Amino acid sequence: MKWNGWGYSDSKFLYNKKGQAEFTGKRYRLSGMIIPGLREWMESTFGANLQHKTPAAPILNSSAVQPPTLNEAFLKELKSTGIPFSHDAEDRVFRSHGKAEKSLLMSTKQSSMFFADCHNDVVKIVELACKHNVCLMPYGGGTSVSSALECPPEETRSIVSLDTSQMLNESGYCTGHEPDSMEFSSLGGWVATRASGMKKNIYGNIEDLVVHIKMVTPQGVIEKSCQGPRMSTGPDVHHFIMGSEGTLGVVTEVTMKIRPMPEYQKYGSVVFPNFEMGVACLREVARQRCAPASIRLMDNEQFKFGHALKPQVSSIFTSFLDGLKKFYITKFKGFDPNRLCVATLLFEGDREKVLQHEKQVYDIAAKFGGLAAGEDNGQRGYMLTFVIAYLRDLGMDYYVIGESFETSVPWDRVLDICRNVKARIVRECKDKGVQFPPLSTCRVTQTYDAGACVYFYFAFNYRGLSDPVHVYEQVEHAAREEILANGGSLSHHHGVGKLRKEWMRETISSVGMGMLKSVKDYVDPNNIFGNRNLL
Amino acid sequence: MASEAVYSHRDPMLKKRDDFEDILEERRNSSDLRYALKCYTPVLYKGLTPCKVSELKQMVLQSDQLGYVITQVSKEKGMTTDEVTGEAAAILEEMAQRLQLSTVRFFAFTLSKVFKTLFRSICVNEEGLQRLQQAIHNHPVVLLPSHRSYMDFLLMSYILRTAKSLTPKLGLLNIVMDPFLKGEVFDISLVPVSISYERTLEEALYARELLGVPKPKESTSGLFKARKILSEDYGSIHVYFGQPVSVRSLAESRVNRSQFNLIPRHIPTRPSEEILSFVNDSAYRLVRAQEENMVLKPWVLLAFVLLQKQATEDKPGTALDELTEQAVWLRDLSRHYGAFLHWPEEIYNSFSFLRNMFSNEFILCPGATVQDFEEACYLLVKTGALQINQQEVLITERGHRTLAFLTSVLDPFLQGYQVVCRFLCEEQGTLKLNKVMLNSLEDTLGGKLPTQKSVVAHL
Repeated sequence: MKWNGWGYSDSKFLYNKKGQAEFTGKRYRLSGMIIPGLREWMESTFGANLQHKTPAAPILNSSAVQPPTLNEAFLKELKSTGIPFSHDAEDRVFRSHGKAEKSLLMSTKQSSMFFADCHNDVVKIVELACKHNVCLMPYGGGTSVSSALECPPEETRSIVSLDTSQMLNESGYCTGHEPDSMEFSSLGGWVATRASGMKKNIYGNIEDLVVHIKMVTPQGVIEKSCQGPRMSTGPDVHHFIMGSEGTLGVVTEVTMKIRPMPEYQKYGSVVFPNFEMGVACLREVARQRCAPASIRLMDNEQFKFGHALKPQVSSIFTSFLDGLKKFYITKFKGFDPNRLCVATLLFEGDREKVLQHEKQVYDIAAKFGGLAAGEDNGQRGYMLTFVIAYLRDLGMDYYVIGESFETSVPWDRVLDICRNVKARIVRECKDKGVQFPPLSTCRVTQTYDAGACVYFYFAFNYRGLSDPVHVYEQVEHAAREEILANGGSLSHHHGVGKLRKEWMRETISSVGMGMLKSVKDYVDPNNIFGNRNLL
Repeated sequence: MASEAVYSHRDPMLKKRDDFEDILEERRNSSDLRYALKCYTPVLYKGLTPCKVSELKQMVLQSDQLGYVITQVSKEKGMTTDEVTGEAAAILEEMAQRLQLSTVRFFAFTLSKVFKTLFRSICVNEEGLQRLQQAIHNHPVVLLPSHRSYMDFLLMSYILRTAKSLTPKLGLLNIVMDPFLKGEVFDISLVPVSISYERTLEEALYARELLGVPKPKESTSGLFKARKILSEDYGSIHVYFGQPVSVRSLAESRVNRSQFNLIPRHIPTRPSEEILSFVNDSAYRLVRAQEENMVLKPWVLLAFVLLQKQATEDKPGTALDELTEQAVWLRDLSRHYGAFLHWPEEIYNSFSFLRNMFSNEFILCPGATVQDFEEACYLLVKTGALQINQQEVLITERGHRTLAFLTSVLDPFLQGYQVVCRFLCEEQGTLKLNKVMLNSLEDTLGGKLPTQKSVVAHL
């Protein structure tokens, strides 16, 4: 795994000797393929140039890493328990951040890490941490994008990372929970951040999947006494745990619903003449409560982006077919290539039901001017969401800095928020002196009865800027302000971490803050779980 | 204790404003019919989906906002929703635009003729118009013209041939800013338009109003019924399109737009104190912006001077010299206070006139008036005869000798023309010449006459 980038070390995008884009490795469907359109897309979208490569990032130098603040008494007692640990600089750096853009540029403060293997290990570690007043920061998959895993700069105690990655043990059945970070994120992390998965339409979000939670806190272990499907036993204490983002304790065991693997899976895609029609279609699908396992609508820029990521086709026949499709859609049906957008679909379940469902959805799409565009495009769309994070690393090599952010918003605000936030990003970049117009794009990724989840990407070429990180932070900040001003939420599933703390009070009100604080004060009065997320 | 200066000392004289172009000049030199029939390609808002008027009316009638109000009204008045909807449809019919290019072209033709008769010039700042077109493309635009005459509406529609103008009343401004505050548009450009008159068509009406005579019902047709107006001279009009103001930038850090997150946007609600205060402040700023670009012509300052004289002295009338001197003094004072003056450029105009007149006496390249003028100024300054500062041209001490010499060189030429003019005025009093007259002229002067054409042209 990379310490300063996303994912596996062997998989990455690069430009080969011929100047073509390639995705290395063997793990993904896209691995080992040439992507002919990517270079041109990068050059025209960002004004990036293959000649302008950012100076290579320094190899991790152990001596450059801050020496740890050690709590000797704590370490001595813990070593005697036999729980594996490490003081290595590399291990520490690896666990001192998540995957948010600026995280990748930060330093480390942790002193050591302990690898817990089971619930009892965690109990021991937490007891000792309380006894010796050591700060504990749980670490699952390390995929946080809200600065949740960064060490708070004001923390003076010894910081110990509690790595739970050895505890995962999935088998057979599917939970159906598939966040984009699925390859690396952990179950405990999902619970701690109120995660949402791609197929929540069938399986539900984490709060719907969870049946039972066991968590170790400084006050002791919290768990309910039975596994009833629904209870009215006062406010649900699970909801103190879910979303607590590592501030209350460590989640050690979770009981989740599982479903039989689906008999049949089918991808699909629909092209709409413009974004407005696409959103209207999604709204209708939500209204009729017939959403497939997944339905995502991307805007025109993302459609072009997806197009640029098409791997080189091996057969002439395939490329001929592609050309024919393009002709049909643009010339014959009169779709404007600068306004059209695509929805990708995934159906899952019994074969017969899937086919019926599919017909229903395509019929609705047709009412909004949608044209079925084939399984292939749909499948590629989903495959891409797993590799997109790798693309950001490629961008960093060529002076392109970028990030994604998300929100949930009621149906009547979807169009306005998409337009206004994208325009705000463009304006802020212009005001801050970014030379080339930024990439500012969005997609509707989830539908609910009462609204939708919208995912934004923005990226810009920072060549010529004296302080690109500062500009980036300001743009991200302005984008979030614009989201909030247009009726969007602070986060749909990424969480708050430290990145979005400043808006918590206005989000849940002072009374709400007081409620959360009082829970924290009771459960962890000495702030042993001192990552300072949320509050 | 004031922690920061309330007034920043910026010299108002340094404010830069655009130049004016007289749009009637082109009209006087080309066919009105061709103008009225020319191709119409307006700049459009980039986010606009074009639709027919009937579609637009349907959208309005079926909108959530209107639906809500119709339900409320029918409850309050005990009418059926169908009845109320009927009323709404009637109001909409009256309000809705009926843009027909033929009507626009008709007005383009007739208004051109009328304006040319009534006014000496209608000056517009072209740069401002271009800024406006740019703004129209990027964001919805609201025009805020000053309102001092019925003519405003005609002028706005004549110059722009676009949507109706809007008077900046607070209620209307609130409505206009609403779509931005609710996130329905990204931004709105407010363009203050300053329309300055030397003399308004309804001056008599205004005067009577001030004396207490009730105002007759407003109608633009009423204006034109008084045909004798057409023989009067109403001087010039100046239309200045100011810098577009972004509502988003006005509202930043003043209005918290999240206040609209929890209620459906189509339900009309009383604006909060915060918003009322914001709109009020914005309105004042915008009217000030209008005022800053109002143009003062000589006649306006003269009127000031005359009125003051009237008030202080008993005997009517003032000597012309005194009046001129007062007006010039007032002009300079106004300039220092940052007034936007449009004073004829005496020196250049005189130079231009004389140059034309002498075009057969000396070798003067056609079309090089400006260059010659600037060269002359440069040379005179170089030899220390003239001093040119920002607002004035002064003759220096030693310049007197140079200028006296130069004027005496030109004098004989000037005298020749003066004699001819005096002769023609005494003899005929008209501009027509015939061969007989020319011959007698030739005899009188005993020299070669300038050609017939040039004499006619320059008299």
